[in-house]
Order: sequence, then C-alpha cells, then structure tokens
Amino acid sequence: VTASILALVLANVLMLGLGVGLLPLLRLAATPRELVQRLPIAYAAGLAGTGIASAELALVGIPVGIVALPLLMLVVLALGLRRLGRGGAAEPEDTRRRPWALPALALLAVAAVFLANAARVLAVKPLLENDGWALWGLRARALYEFGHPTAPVFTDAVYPALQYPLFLPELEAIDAHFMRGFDGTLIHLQLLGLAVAFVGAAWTLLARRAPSLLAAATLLAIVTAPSFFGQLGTNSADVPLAMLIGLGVTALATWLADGGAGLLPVATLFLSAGAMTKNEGELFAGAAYVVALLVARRAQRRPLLVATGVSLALVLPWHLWLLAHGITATTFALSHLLHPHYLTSHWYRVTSAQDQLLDQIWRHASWTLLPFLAVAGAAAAVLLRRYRVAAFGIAWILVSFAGLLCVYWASPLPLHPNLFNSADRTIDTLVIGGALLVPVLLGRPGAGYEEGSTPGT
Amino acid sequence: LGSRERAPGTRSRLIAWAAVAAATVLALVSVLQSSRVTWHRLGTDYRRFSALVPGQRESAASEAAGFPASLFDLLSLQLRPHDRIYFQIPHTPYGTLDLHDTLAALGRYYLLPAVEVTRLDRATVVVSYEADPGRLGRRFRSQIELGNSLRVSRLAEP
Repeated sequence: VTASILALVLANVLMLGLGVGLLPLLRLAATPRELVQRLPIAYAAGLAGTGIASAELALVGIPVGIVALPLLMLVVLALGLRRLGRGGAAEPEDTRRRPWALPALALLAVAAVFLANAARVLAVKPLLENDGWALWGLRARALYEFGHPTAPVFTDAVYPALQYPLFLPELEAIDAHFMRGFDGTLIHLQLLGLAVAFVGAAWTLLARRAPSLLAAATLLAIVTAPSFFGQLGTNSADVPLAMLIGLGVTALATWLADGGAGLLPVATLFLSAGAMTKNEGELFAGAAYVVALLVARRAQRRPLLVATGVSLALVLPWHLWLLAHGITATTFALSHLLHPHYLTSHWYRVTSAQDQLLDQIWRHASWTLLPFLAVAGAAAAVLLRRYRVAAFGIAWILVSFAGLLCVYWASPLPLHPNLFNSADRTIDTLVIGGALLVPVLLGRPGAGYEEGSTPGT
Repeated sequence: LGSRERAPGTRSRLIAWAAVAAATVLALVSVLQSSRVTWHRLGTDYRRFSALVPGQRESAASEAAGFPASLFDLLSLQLRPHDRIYFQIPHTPYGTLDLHDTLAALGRYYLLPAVEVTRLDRATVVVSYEADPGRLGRRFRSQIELGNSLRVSRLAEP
C-alpha cells in the first residue's frame, strides 16, 4: 500500500511539474519571482492540463502513463521555463501592511487540517457508491486496462453513461499506471489531490482582487460543507466538476473586472477541463462564455471569442469520437427542445425539476449557508454598483440553472427517478461556483494585496 | 492588474467594508455550523473503513449488493483477459433491483479486462447464475460449476 501511495504521489508531483511549466505559458507568471508567488495554482493547472492532454491522446490510442507523463511534463516545463527566461513585465511588488494576513492564513490552516483528515479517510475508503464503481471506476479501470476508449465499454449501450467525457477517468487511469494496478481504494486520493489543488488555486486567484479574510473564510466554508467531502468520497465527478468550473468562473470574473495577464488563459484551462469532466460541464462553461461575452468591454470580446474557440476545439474531438462510434446522449434529447408539443405537454418536468433543484440548493444539511452567501454577495455587489462583475455572476448562475432545467425537461429518462438520483449532485457547481464568486464580487482591484495577501502566501 | 474601477469615496468604502465584513461573518457562521458535522462524519467514516482489510475493500461494492466477497474472485480465475462474457441471469426482482442487471453491473466492473456482450454469438464465455446453460443450445468447450447456482461455460478463446 505504501509503495502504491508513493507511486500515486509521484504521478501527482509530475502533474504539478507540468502545471509549473504551464504558468508561464498561460502568461500567469512572467518572472521567476511571479512563478514562485503563484505556485499554489500550479497543481490545479497541472491536473487540468494533464487531464485534458490525456483525454485527447486517449482518443488517438496513446495512453498517458509512466512514460508519457514524465515526457509530457518535461516538454511543458522546458517550454514554460524557456518563456520565463525571456522575462517580461513583472507586477509591482506590494509592500503595504497586511493586517488580515494572519487570520486568513489561520483559516487556511484549518482548511488544511480538514484536508488532512479527509486524506486519512480517502486512503481507506473503498469504491462503494453505485456511480463510483459502476460508472466512473469502471471507465477509469477500462482506460487503465486498454489504454484508450474501446468497444464495448465505451460504445455499447449496456455500459453506462457512454457520452460522459474522459477527464476524470483518465487522471485515475494515470494513477493506476503508476501504481501498476487499479486500486479502487487508493484512487480516492486523486480526488483529494483535486481538492488540495482547488484550495491552492482558488486562494491564488482570489488573492488578486478579494479581501484575504473573506477569501479564506469562503474557501473554508466550501471545504467544511457536509456535501463537499461527502460527495467527493463517492468517486462521482460532480464535486471535481464544481471545483474546475468554480476556478474557471472565478478567473473569468476577475478578468472581466480588472483585466490582468494570464487570467483569461487560466479561465479557459479550467472551463475546458470542466467541460471535459461531465456533459453538464459544457453547459456551465458555455454559460460562462456567453454571459461573459454579453457583459465584457468591447476590447475584451475578441480575446473572449478566442478563448471560447479554444474550449470548443478541446471539447470537439470527444464529440467527433462519439459521432464516429454512433453514440448519442442517453440522458438528454436535444430534439425534444425543438418540438413545441413535447415542450408544452412536458412542462410539469420543468416545475418539478425546479422545485427539487432549489430544495437541494437550499438544503442546510448539504451546503449549510453557502447559497445564502452567494445570494448576499450578489446583492451586495449590485448595491456597491459593481455591475459588470455582478451581472456576470448572477447571469451565469441563472443561465446555468435554466440550462439544468432544460436538461431535465428534454431528458427521455423518467423524471422522478432521474431527479432522485442526480438532483443533489447536479447543483454542486452552482453552489460552489456561486460561493467562490463572492470574494470576487465584493473585492476590488488591489484589495487582496491591501488587506492581507499576496498570491502564494 | 489594471485598476479600471473608479476609486471609491469614503462613504462607498464604508459600505464596501461593511459588505465584506458581513459576507465574512456569514461564511464563518457557515463554517461553525458545518465543521463539527463534517469532522464527525470524517471520523466515523475513518473508523468504519480503516477496520476493513484490503480484500474486504476490493469486494465492498459486491458485498454491499448482497453477493459474497469471493464470487468475483472465483469468476476471475476462470476468465482470460479480453474474454467476452454473456451473462445468463434471469431478470427477476432482487430487492428493489433486478438480479440480472445488478450482477452484470458488478461483473462489468470486477471482471475487467473481460467485457460484457449482450449477444451470445459474440461471447467467448457464458456466466450462468440461477440459470441452466444447457438451455442456450450451444456446445461448450468446457464448463465449471462454482457453486449451486453459478457456472462458467467456455465457448471460445478470446
């Protein structure tokens, strides 16, 4: 077991190395000093980059394992450090007093204690929940065994959720390659890795704009919410999806408000990773891009269109692969949305789904006060006349929620079993993403530096 | 970072500070309300799962579905990599589930890299549970009985 854990840690160190190389390539670090300051985001960037690359390579039959991952890491790291060597304008060093730094760091330390406690559990928890083994575990194990998506596991309707993309199973398959076998228990440590990466990346992103104490308190509130570790440990993709999309919309909202080099590429990276984690991820990422295009300044629209194009280009190969193998979505029938008779006769599905999703969002036993925090933050941002970023946050939540309702509306699956099995999880991204936006909504340029944090502290 | 928002006045700054303070307090109240629950649950889960030995962890999904831990180990020993399995299991109620669907789902996970096929003519091996392989009308190369109701019958090499 110890050797397997070390092998899994080694795989994640390589992903971290890949992330370090990505920071200069994404223009998030122009100097060695900035690279060190923004290292906490490198792990999440590395996980996202590795997951995206391995999911794409799997489609052309190239498995990422003990040979390809170090190679990939070395190439990206070399390219990144080469770019870093060319220098570039560094952001001015902040020398202001930071009275809230210590309390904020204390809250982050508490979050670290919770993560450590969760590590103890995830290292011994078997695959137990149905989706954890029958869907995600199965796909990860198959990718490990076969090296690429293959028939019938990824093509025959007897296997579940064929349309789900490969991001998370690929990360777990890489771990299995390093462990020299698929371990349904230790694989949970990869999910912990995602949570650690999420906290580091969110802290670094929020530090650009948000008051540090609010940023740290929000992160701690997310990590300690009962559903966070409760769902993460089931090996379902919903909390990983929520974390990736949450990081993406945080970076995008900050970029819309302040500009800032590297934020849009980072947002593109995380939104693309989210779109490649679950099909709902495409909805959440698409909603973020559409809303951002509507609220962006004129000068921001062209780079936004490029970012949207990059995400589409990354998602497209999976859809072409599905098309080539004759796989159509089993949980969503787009054609239903084009038939007025279907829509009117199935309106009850919208109202039922709306009630159920809202009930899950506001459920205190799941997310405590996080939804209240998101609503209060959005209202305060309007009050403070931070219209652009408030419009982005509010519209992203509403469009995403409406999109979820459309999915339930158009689904060919019986409504109530579908809601019973999924409603508590499909709202994760709205809750986590909504809460994570609050420090951005209430922050202002330089507030993070002024009130107690530098990126990476 | 470009400072594109207008520098706020004293009153605006006070309101902004109050909003940040209120949101911070709300987040901290959320932490206070949830941290004990989450910590307790993590502790309970650790005690529950750390008591399992590695074999029990591997077969946890199978046992949770009501099948003995040894079932899929026994089956695996009879399979070759890339075998194509036809599950001959009746569609009878199994609690709130279906016996065929439950066992086939477990088989799809535990028996990899052997895979399930739904057409007998594509199968290399038949796993029969509470069913008679003789009823399939095929000539088998070999057949092994792994208990009263479980049989593995080989049709071909993968």
